[in-house]
Formats: sequence, C-alpha cells, structure tokens
Amino acid sequence: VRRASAGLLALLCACSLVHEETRDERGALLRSFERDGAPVPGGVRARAQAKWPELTLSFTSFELCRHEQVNEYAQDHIIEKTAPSAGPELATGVSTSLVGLGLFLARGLLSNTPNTSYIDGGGNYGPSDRTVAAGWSYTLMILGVPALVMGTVTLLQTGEKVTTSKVEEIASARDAPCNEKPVDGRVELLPPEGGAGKAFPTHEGVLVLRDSDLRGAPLGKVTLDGKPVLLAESEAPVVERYLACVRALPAPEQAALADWPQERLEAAADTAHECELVSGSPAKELARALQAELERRPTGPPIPQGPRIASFDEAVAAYQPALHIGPRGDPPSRLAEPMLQSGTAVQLQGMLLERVEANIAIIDVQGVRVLVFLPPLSPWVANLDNGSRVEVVGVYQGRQRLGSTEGPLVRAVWARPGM
Amino acid sequence: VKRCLAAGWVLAAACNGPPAPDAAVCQDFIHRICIQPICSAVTSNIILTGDCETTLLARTGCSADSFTFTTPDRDRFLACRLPLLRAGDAPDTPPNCDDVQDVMTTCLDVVNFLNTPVADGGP
Repeated sequence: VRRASAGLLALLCACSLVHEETRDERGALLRSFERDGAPVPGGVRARAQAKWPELTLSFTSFELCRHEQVNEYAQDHIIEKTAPSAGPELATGVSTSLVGLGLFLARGLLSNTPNTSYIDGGGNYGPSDRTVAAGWSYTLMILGVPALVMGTVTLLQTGEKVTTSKVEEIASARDAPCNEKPVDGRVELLPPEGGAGKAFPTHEGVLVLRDSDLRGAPLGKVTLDGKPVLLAESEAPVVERYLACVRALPAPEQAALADWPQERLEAAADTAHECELVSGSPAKELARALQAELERRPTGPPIPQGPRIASFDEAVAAYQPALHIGPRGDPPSRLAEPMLQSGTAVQLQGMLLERVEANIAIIDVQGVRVLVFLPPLSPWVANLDNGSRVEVVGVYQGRQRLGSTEGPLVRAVWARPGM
Repeated sequence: VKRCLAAGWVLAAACNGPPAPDAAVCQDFIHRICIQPICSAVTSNIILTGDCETTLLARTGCSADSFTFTTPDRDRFLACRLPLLRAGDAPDTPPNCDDVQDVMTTCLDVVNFLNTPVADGGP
C-alpha cells in the first residue's frame, strides 16, 4: 500500500499537459479553373406566345446546372504542440533522480548502527543513517524518475507539424436552367388573392388559352400539378400585353367614351396601346378612338392639380395606394407581376437616378429601375433633384420600354424629396 | 513540490531500526515516568523510597542487560507505554500527567510490576 500510494503520488507530481493548437495558413494561388456541378432538380418554366385571341403557353421541366469558377490554393495545416511544464518537469526529474541515485550509491558510507537514543511505540530503535539515506534515495527516485520520463516524453511530443494540401475555393457560382424537356400536367390559373382558379390540361407540354379563359379572372399565379410555374422575365411582357388585350377588348361603344372620366380614358388608351403590340389584335381602332376622345377634350395636366390635390398627403388620401413599394413595404418585384392591373395606385420610395426625357425620370427602387412620368407643369417637380431620395404617389401604367431601359411605368400624382 | 517533500518525509519516517531489548524498553518507561517534576499519579501509585529512576530500576531489575519481560509480557508493556509518548517520543520529553494517570489507571499489572521487588517474584 505504501509503495502504491507513493507511485500514485509520483504520477500526480509528474502529471503534465500538452497544449495542441491547430491552424490553417493559405498559401499561393496554384490555378483557377471552371467546372460544372451535378444538375439538381429545378422546376417548371413556361414560355408564352401571344397571337390574338390565343395565348400559347409551353411548359418545360428543367434542372439547375451549376457552373463554378474555382480557385485552387496551397494550404498549410499546422499542428503546434507546446508543453509549458515540460522544461521544469524535466529539470526537477533530472535533479531529483540524480540526488536520489547519489544517496543510494553513497549509503554504504553511512553508519548502519540503529539510533538507540529513541524507541518508538512498537518497541523498535530508530533507523540507522544508512536506512534513512536509502529511504530518501528510494523516495527521490520514485518521484524523480517518472518526472524525468514524463518530461522527456512530453518534450518529445512538442513541436510543429506542417501538412501541405490543396484546397479549393469557389470564387463564383452561377445556376442556369438546363436539360429542359416538355412536361404535361394540370395547369391552374390562380387569382392573386388566392383561392381556386381555372384548370386546364396540357397536350405535349402546350396549353392554348383563349381570351374567354382569362376574362373576369385576374391572373396571379400559374401552377402545373400544384407546382409553381416560373415565367421567364422576357416572357412577362408577352403575357402582360395579352392580358391588356383581355382587359381592353371588346372595344366599348364609341358614344360611351364621352362619359368616361379623364383618368379612365387615359388608362384605357395606355392599355389599348399595349394591346396593339399583340400580333393580330384588333386594338388599333380602339386606340385610335380613345386617342381621338382624349384630343377632343381640353388639354391640361394629365393628373388633376385641382383644389383636391394640394399636397403629398392629400394625394395618398385621394388615391389610397394598393402597393407601397419601398424598404419597409412591398418588394419591388410586385411591380413585375403580370397580373398587376394598369391603373393601380402605388406609392414608391427610391432614388431618382436621372431624367431621360423632359417628363420621364428613372427611380431606383431597391435595385429595380422604375420609369416615372412627371407632369411638367406640376409645382413639385422642381423640388426633385437627381441623386436624391424621393417618395412618389402615382398610378401604375404597365411596362414600357424607353431606349435601352424597360421597366414598370408609374404616372406620378405627387412626389416629394426625402423619406 | 510540497506534496513531493511530504511524501518523501513519510517514506523516510516509515523506516525503523531493530527491536530494542526488553531492558532498554523497561528503562525507557521508567525514565519517562521519573522525569522531574514527577506526576502525582506516580507518587500516589508507586512506592518510591529514594530517587525515582534509581529505585525503580533496582526494584524491577531492568538495569540488567539480561532482563526480559514475563508478567506483564513485552506487548502488554509496550501498549501501556504508548500514552507516555503522546507528548513526544524524544526520551527526555516529560509526559503529560493526564497520560501518566491514564497508564496508572488502566495498567494495574504494570503498576504492580513496578511496585514488586525482583526478589519478591518480579520478572
């Protein structure tokens, strides 16, 4: 028991820790290369083709193929082991062991006569000097040798180990639809506010809709077998123009136009102009009639500047915008929805980028460029500077192309600088 | 370091020498109870006719190197000696009188041994 206790104590005394720290250091760029990742399931997309009175939607399923730009680097994986106690432990082990060994070897020089001046409780004399020296030598060696061994082992474990390997870093990745193939299923035309919509089956991936299929049922979302269908950005104007025809046609009686309010007349004229772009649409006559009615009426500012609208707040109160596009409101993608009706009152917050015409400004709304018609005679137009933040209340007029810029067009009722 | 030194001291102290002769054990016992000032427990239980140590060594025969324990035997004598070491095991350390009283109360055979001359049937 005495020896076991001494051994355990020796181990406790000799106990030490090795601290391990791992770090990676990136080296030089070895090479750059491109690669294609494995395709992942994408979804269903549709292409649209309008030829009045039909709208042909072609549905294809697609996968997403990832194209990656990869940089390959050399990287050092460094494992650093330190043991702050190894040095003192080794020094203690060496000195203690040497003293113990010295005492053990020199014990023969000491007297072996017991200490007769003292008798212990068991009736024995005290140990001789040689016995005491031997006891101390055993003790010192029991403590010193493990410390010496542990210190040596610990010291051998310390150091730095460096492993160099190649690592890849994906500098950029681009997902693009691929592996497209026609897909059949049950197409549902859902209203924007939710609920059930009309359903149609496709044939060989194609669905041909007529104006009667869309009349009276505002289009919000299209699904195929319950899965949402993506409409390519380039396809959206096609659908939008076709929907404009659905709203504009059949043309109202010529005589009835005289009773229309100015605003409705202007919105209808815009819609008719948009519909004219659909192949085979009979909107030319309607557009001409609406234009004639507009020209017949006295000219003036397109947006009422009368006593009812005298401030931004009054414009908000009078028009009650359905959409509030801005940082704390609706996302600007709402302006790209094909089902958004022309004539919808909207409120925008963005930055006035430039004036491309005398009465057209481009406003950046969270990355989306919105064309805004600014009535030139309006007193508040002079307050709007390029590069400043503006807030606009206006009426959505559909998508328009102006030079190289295509985007939603909003006719401003009132605009003011700042937020 | 302190733990290591303490462990070394314990190991070194655990060593001891050969058994002391019965005469040396007896002489040590008598020497301890006769250290001045002598406790009243000694004077009231043991008959002293002169110098304490001289008297008792002569009465018990412990002064002879050939002395050996009979009654009480060596183990009993050593057990009765233990209270005298509580104050310190150095030979000239005077024992506490309470410990001496303890010996005189619990070791009547030893008291009897100390009071009985060797010629009268002592060891």
